[in-house]
Amino acid sequence: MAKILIAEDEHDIRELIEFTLNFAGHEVVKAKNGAEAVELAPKVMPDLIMMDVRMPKMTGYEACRAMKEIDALKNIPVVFLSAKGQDSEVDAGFDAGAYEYILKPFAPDYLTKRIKEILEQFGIAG
Amino acid sequence: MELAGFYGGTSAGWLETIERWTSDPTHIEGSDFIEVILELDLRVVSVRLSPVIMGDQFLGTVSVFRDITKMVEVDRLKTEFVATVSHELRTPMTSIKGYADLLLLGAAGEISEAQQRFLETIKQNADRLSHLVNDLLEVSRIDQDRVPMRFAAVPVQDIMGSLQEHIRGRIEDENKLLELHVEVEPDLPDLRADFDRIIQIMHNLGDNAFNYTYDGGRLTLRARLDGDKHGVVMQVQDTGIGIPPEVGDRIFERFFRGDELDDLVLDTPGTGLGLSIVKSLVEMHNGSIWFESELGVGSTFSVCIPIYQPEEEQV
Repeated sequence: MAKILIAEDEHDIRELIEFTLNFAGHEVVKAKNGAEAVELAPKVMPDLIMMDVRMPKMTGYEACRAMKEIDALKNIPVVFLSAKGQDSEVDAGFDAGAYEYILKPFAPDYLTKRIKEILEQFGIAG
Repeated sequence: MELAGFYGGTSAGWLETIERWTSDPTHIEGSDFIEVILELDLRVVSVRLSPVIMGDQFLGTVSVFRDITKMVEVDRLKTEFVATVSHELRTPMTSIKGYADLLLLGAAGEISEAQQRFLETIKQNADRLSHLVNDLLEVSRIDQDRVPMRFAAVPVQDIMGSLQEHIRGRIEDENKLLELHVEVEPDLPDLRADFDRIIQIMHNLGDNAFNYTYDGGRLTLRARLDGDKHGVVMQVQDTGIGIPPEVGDRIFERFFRGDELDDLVLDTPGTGLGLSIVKSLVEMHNGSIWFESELGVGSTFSVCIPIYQPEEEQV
């Protein structure tokens, strides 16, 4: 049971991820874009952050970079979600400090499994 | 000597080259030139500078300036278009698949058998749509020459081994009664290929053979040295439904499926883009692809890929 911050601008997908993670027993905090995520993260102190790559106001990359600059947040694993358009997008994601990259469309049980694996790797009881 | 004004940061390279031309005209090649892209405030200009030589005297340079602003902009839009379309199409698909999956997992309560069947149908069609989007993007990249190829020496056994595993996997997963034979000549030279792409090519041929052969049939994978010894021919043979003679090379056309020809084709999900993508990828390898087929007997698809020649590789 972990606390996960998700940043996704598409309403339906935001709800889908919240539902999926709740179903797996996690607590979920939602942000609508990168800027909101950066604002909420230090207040919420999540165990894991999941972000869409393309968002208005601040992209996932920018938000990730911003969070890695903050001492309290820099060790929290960041997982990017994206409908991959280019291989360069994936490279850019890892360059920005992401731990993992999950492609859309994803199967909810794949998402759950991957999150569990990452949480275990970071020693967080999930 | 100093170059000022527009040339700015690129001037060092220019100066070096022009000094070299001036001081040693005898070593100027006919094909020597300097090309620079200058990004000015509102426009992008390409400048090409060629030396003018008379006998062994360097007389000066001829410069051609081209305004390529439009070309650069169109190129950028095309790349963005592919990325944007990909994102726009995959976003609703994520919801369709995701919510269908959640229902199937029982996340919103127990579901009846009929509900399960209907949801599986929604899922399968979302997957079909997903494949179509992937194929369309691939085709779009091929059209724009935006397929990055990383050529290296690829052992034939790696390719055939992967194909074998892939087909065995499908035989097990889908419970299909098919025999698989493999005949790979020993000591074949490595191919000059992009590993991921060559796997994509062969898996596609293998999938077609698998899909269009009924239970009780046989698939044979072969690899041999080509007659003129410059390439390796890899073959996938099946005892499937075969391709009618009037189809011919139309089979490589985009969106051609021939589903009016056999029920099995109609029942097999597909976009009709597979073979056209395969053909383009084979051609990008400087290879060739062809097939032989007889209705009701089976088909054999062959791909010839050049072998790896180390002295041809440029750093």
